[in-house]
Amino acid sequence: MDNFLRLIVRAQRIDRRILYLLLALCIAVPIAVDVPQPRPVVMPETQSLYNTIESIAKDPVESKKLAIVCTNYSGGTLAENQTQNEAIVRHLMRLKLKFAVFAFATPQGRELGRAVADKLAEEYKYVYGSDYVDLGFCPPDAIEVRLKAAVDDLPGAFEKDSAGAALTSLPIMAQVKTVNDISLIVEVTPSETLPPWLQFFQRAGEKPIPTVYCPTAVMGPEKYPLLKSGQLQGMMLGLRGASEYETLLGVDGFGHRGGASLSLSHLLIILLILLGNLGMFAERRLRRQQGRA
Amino acid sequence: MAGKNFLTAYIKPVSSVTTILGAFALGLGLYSMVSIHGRAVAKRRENWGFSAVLLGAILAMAIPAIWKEYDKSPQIAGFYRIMYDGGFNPLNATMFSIVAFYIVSAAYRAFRIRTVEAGILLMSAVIIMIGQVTLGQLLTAWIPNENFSSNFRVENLSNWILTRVNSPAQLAISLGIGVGTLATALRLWLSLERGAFFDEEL
Repeated sequence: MDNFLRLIVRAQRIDRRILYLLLALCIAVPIAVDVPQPRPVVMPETQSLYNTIESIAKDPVESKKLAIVCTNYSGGTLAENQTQNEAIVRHLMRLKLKFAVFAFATPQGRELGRAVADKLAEEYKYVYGSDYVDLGFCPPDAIEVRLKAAVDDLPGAFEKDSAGAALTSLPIMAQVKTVNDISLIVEVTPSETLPPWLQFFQRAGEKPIPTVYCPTAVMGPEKYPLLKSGQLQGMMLGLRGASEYETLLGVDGFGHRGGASLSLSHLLIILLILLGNLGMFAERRLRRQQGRA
Repeated sequence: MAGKNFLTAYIKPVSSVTTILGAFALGLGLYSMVSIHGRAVAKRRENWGFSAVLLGAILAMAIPAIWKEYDKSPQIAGFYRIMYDGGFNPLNATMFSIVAFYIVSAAYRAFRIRTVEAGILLMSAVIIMIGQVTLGQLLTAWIPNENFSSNFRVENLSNWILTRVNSPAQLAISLGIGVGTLATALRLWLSLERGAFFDEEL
């Protein structure tokens, strides 16, 4: 028993490079090699997000309006946010819903969001200008005023798309005049970019606009009160949420592949925490035994 | 629309002005970076090599990005794509990914159950982490998903902690922050605030 305790105590001094290597293997191997794994259980908030978009598509009036997909993420959170963005845009395109790509937290977000839309447009035969539009980037300091202006005159507030074409010249914007012509707000973000939508845009029209939130996993728990209050109609939490959404869509994307990496790395961290605490208790016990001896 | 008043007509011009000011802030930040690091390189200060690398990286990314706006040739577009998709994005993702390694090291060395509260925190964290991942959900997949027993499935336990425990706590914290912000703002307006930046009462 003492030998076992001493082994556990010695394990406390594992070189951190070994820990890093273990983590790197847990993350890289499932991505490189197709590891068979079960589909995730779909959580209520992800199901709610899916149902929100489905109900918009089934409504004859709402389905003709414009959805706004706000991609406020950068390269640092590609694994989570890009996967979420792809899942959402795929769903919108599958249901033939028109949408606009927009960003205000980081210029990179607009570029990344547009890249996803362009990539999937080839698959779903979406045409830029008729089925989707890029509203460009707005500096974060100006977003509140921009949204307030967009409430009464959306094409006037945004004026041009990212290529410099007047929005009024694009077929997709022909029926989009005010906030009442927006069917959905999708916020894909790793940071606190939801408040401007909720404060200045969501409830500025005749009825509240359904708003769904796709944060990184670490940001998600803060927003559960908004789900309960009805300000958010759905939430896709991190890579796991994207994996659940892909399950609902019936596709095998990065969310599913990355889920295996997520599983192994989480289990590794739990194991190391338990090992660390076992070591602490083992050390205490050995010290007590030495004290008695 | 609700909320119209005599200033409503000025919303669009103000929006344009704030957008332009925001763009200027970007330029100001760039000027600040270039001047600080440029001086470090010119005067060969300590670690000036890193400043040189930073300036080189700024130019390496900015030049193709600006060039492609004026030259629509496929070669320039390809060059930009190589720099952006092949260099900038992966490097950006890598920097953020380093955090995961710090978490592993910190969790192993620092997360110790020395008090009851720490034990409860660890238990909740483990349940939520296991509930988030498919391999963890497999542990309780044998429990039927109907009636009372479904509450013991790990994903339902995890969801319960997030919605019934975490959510009220987040609400309480948000309310506290809101009240504190209002109180601090009121103190500032009434010139009652004393602290590092307020040497005398106005």
